[in-house]
Amino acid sequence: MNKDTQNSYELILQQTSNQKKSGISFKKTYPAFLILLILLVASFFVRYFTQSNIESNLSSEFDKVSTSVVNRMNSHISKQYEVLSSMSGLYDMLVEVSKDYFELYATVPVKNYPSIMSVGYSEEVKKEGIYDFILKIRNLGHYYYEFNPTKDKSIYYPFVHIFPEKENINKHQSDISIDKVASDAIIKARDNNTAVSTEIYNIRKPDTSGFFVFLPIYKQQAPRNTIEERRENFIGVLTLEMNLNKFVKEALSGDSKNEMSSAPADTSIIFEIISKDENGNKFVAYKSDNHNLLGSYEPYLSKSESFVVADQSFEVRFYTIPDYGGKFQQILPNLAFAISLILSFAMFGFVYTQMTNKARAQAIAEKMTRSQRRIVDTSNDIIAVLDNNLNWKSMNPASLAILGIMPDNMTGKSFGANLVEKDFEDKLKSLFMSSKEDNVERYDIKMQKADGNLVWINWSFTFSPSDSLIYCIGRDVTLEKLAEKEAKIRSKQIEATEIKSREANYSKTFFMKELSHQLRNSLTGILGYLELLREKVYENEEELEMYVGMAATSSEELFIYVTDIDEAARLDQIQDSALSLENIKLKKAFDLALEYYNENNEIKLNDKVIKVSEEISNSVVSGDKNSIKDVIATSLQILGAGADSVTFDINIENNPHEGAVELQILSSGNKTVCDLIEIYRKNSQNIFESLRFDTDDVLLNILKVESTMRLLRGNFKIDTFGEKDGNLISIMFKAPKKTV
Amino acid sequence: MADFKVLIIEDNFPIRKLFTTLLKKSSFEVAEFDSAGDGIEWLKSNKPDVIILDILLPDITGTDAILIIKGMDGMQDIPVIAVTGFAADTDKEKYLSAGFSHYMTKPVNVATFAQEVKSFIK
Repeated sequence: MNKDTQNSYELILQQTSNQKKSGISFKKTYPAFLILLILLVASFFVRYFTQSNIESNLSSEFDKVSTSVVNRMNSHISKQYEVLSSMSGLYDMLVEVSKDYFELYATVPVKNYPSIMSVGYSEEVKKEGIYDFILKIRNLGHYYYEFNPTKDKSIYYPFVHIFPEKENINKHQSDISIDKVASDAIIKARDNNTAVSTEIYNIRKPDTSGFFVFLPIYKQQAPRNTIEERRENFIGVLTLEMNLNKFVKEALSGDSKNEMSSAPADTSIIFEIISKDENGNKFVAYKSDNHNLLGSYEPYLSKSESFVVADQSFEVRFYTIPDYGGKFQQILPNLAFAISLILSFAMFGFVYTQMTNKARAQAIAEKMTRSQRRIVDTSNDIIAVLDNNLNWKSMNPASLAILGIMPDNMTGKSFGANLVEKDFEDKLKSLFMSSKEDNVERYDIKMQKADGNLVWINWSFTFSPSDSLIYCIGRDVTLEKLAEKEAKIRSKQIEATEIKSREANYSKTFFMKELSHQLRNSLTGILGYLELLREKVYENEEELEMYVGMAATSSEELFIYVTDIDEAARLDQIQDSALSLENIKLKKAFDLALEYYNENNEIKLNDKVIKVSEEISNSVVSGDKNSIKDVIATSLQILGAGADSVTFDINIENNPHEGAVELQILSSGNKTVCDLIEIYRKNSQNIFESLRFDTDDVLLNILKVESTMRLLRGNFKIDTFGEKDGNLISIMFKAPKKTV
Repeated sequence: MADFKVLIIEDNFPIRKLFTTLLKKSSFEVAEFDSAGDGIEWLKSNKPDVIILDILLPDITGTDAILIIKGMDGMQDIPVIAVTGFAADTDKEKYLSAGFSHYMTKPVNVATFAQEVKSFIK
């Protein structure tokens, strides 16, 4: 955009658009920063919630897995415990449980659960009863049973039965109470009449970790309510020797075809089973296969569950493996946070941009409004608004300069209050009411100022039906109007001068022609007779005198003519006219005039408004056809000027005595024409100045017709009988010369 | 006995008398009138060899008179000479086209006037 061709509005736009951001105040953009703050806080919440959600999910998953492990272990040990329970039923049923019976009951569980290292029965044997014990056991099927305690104790607990016997041949016929842990557990079982489990310990050398479960057996139907009774009636314990490693594997992998064989994601966790040694110190009795991972990282989650075996509750510690849930889940909270931050800043940027754009647009609008307001206030033209009742709603200060009225005094007033021609108010209202859409009309209207003087205002009215308002711009064009009027007057005066000049030219021409004609005639006589005299053509003195007399006569004619030369120049003194004269039927010329009038005027003349006497059909005049047509048409124009309606009464009189045909046109009352006729009559000697007062070219047309009639050797007169009684034009045409 | 008969219609007395004198001396029989009406009336019962007609006449114009004359029986071939003080070329053309056979402007050449008139006679 070329600065030279920019207008003020474009400059404003450019300046404002180039405004730096610092130009936009914080006051207008703080919501964007507020939004940013909120979004940043929200980002932290996003991170927190994401992390919480992930933690929750992972924790839930971890719980599920760890619980699953423990439940399976508990479930599995329950099954093992059932073995003992079912076998204790044997002892409730039978006085003595033989080897076969024992093996029968023990076979299935032992075969099914490799974790069961042995199922056995240890009997409490007093020192003094060893021999009988051996005999008894031999009777139970262990034919080669021997018991040789290694220690000297008062009570022994040798295995009576143990299954599988082959694999436990070393244990069979041995005292289980040698193992202090087992011994303590047995006593506890005896005293509490409950299944008792040992801690997990190195149950078999060198490094088999396991535990015993002991179930006390009492004498059939013997009381065992008190500890003394229990001790009294205690006969032995059923033993369940468990290989911890195998047990855990069995428990986690499922031990029956009917159960689900697939384990949940055990590899997603690390676990260890804690036990206590004889000193009460905790140690890890069992480690999951992936336990070696511990120590190289900080587990995401950890928890402890209880694995219950009989009366023992072993702590099982669970840990999540490295990258539990996947690396993606680990970084997800931070990723969500980062994304949220990015989005926050993006949103901030967007909102900030929108706000600054809006602020900039508002600034532009404000600037433009201010500019426009300045333009309205300082304009030399009236800029105003009319309501649909044509009352001023607003007005700028130009009303003072143009109409001499303060804008405040104009507001509420009617548009017509200052109108000179009040009719225009109705016209304006009619235009407004008929407007279907916005449109513009322009009028030059004469208005009255406060001091009574008149002013011409060029109004531009923009009709807005949608707003029910008329937007007005008024420019003082008084000087232009005066100049225009002066120009029109000058133009008329020039035209009048041209008419006079044309007439003068014709006069001059006719005069010269007449002069030439007269001179020639006179010289013909003078020269002719002088020639005759010189040639002595005369035959006698009488003839001589006649010739001299004729020459003298011609000389006198010439002398008279020269003496009275002014009169010789008058058109009406000559016999002929420079216009080509013809015999024109007046009716024909009149019809042409009527046709011409109707073509060039709004009011059409017909039989209803124009009456013509019948003589017109018989009337013939001498003249130029076009000139006669113009004279009649212009005469009608003169009499009908400015009238909304007019009637004509046309009378023809043939006057053969004077060689003339008189045409009289009487029109109905017409104040404009009446006034102008008065002006014409008063100023006929100085018609040029009176043209200033001419309207509708009445005076100019009178000049034209007068001049033409002079050229046609006729006569023109115009009179008025008053504005109500009518006006009269009388035209005298020359009648054609008689034919013989 | 006159050689030719001429009708002169001229309202100016000295001029008409001059023409009459000049033509009579050249053996013309002259009938002279001061108005077209009288001249035309004479033509109803007379037939000249040539007609001298002024343009500006008191009763009708010469151009109207020529039309009337040419409309009369037996007058079509008679030369009609316009003798007038209007000496412009346009006037001459106008009158010749109006029906005049010839055109002479005033003042006439007295010495050759009669001879000129004779020359126009067919």
